[in-house]
Amino acid sequence: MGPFEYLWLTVFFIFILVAFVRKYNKELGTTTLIFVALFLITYFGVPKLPRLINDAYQQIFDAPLSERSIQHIMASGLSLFFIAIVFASYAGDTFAFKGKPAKGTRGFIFNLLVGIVNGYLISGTLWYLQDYFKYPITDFGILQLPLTHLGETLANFLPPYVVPPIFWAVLVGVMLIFRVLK
Amino acid sequence: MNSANVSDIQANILFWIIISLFAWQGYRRGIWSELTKLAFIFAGFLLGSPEYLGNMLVKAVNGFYMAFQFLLHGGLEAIATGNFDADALARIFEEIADIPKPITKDNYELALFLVTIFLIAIGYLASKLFKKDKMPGLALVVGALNGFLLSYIFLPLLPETTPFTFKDLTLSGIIAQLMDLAGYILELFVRGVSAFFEFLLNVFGPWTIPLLLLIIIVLALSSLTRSKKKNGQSGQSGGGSS
Repeated sequence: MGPFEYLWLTVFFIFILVAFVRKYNKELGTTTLIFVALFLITYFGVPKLPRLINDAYQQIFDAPLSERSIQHIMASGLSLFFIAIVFASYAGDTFAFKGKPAKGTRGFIFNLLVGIVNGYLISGTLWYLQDYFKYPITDFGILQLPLTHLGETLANFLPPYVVPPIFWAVLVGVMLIFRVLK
Repeated sequence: MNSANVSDIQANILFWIIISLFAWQGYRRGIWSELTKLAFIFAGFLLGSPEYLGNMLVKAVNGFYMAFQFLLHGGLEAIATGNFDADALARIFEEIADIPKPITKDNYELALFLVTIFLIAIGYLASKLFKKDKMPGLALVVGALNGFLLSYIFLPLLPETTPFTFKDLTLSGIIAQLMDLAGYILELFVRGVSAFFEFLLNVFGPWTIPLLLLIIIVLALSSLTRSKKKNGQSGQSGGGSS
């Protein structure tokens, strides 16, 4: 397996392509749900869940969970939760915005920008869940550490590291206001 | 043909192509549209050049930023309460003295370049507000003038060594040079984006990415136009299903 960040860069580019195929008014619906998921993950999931899981496990089995086990559960659980929300935002009745997207060069630029935003949020969040919980996926031998210099630089700019949790709620609010206005 | 001559010829060809394109665009767009563009390009040129208004602009931006920091760090409270205690003011000045200015020596040139680009972009957008009028000849001349000004601003920024030469004009040679040219443009793009991002990080610090996200989302949402209603039903495009 190649450098760790290549997988995430591939996911990033795939979502840019998806934005060009689906058009940005539909992609913005996905963005809204990603913001909701990120708010839940960063405001409740990451800070509060590990303790809850540990307490629950201790109540049931009368023994504490190892730190690595908690990291595995958290990274896998939150990644699955996040992927499920992203999948739901693409499947069935979507949260797409009403109105016609811009055409021509403007449309191209907006498709690109919204694709970059979604790609960055999705690949960045999945990477963050690995990075924050000390890369549990490497225990399965699927990906290997250490990160390259580029990987380490990029890891400093993963969405939950650079955006305060409450700001995700602000962004959801902005999206909902526009949804009502449109 | 040596590299310097090729570079001169390419620069000359590029110069006349740019002027012709802008003259043609002026002819199509009309005089008021072109005059608006000219005003913004000229303003961009003056404000983006250190020898004209660039230095003054940088001093003004840094000055306003520091004044804002002064207000944030207790200056506003001092003004509101009328308490201009020397110790308190000295403490505020001591605090804000450590705050880095948004435009430093390191990003000075980039900041002025961005100002120029920003004003040209605004001029281009503003020019779209005007409809074509009945002075195509004059519009053509003003369009050419716009092309001349833009060439004057941007052509000196091109590298002295050309990424494409006429030395090897075999098929494999042309393909190899085109690959080099593509690599050169890609590298230029990555360097430009990195420099721009570093500049934003320097100005907005940890709020850079949140602000970028907010701006992109608001711009994209604002660009959506209302769908026309047909037979009392909403003819939405997109809402509902994937």
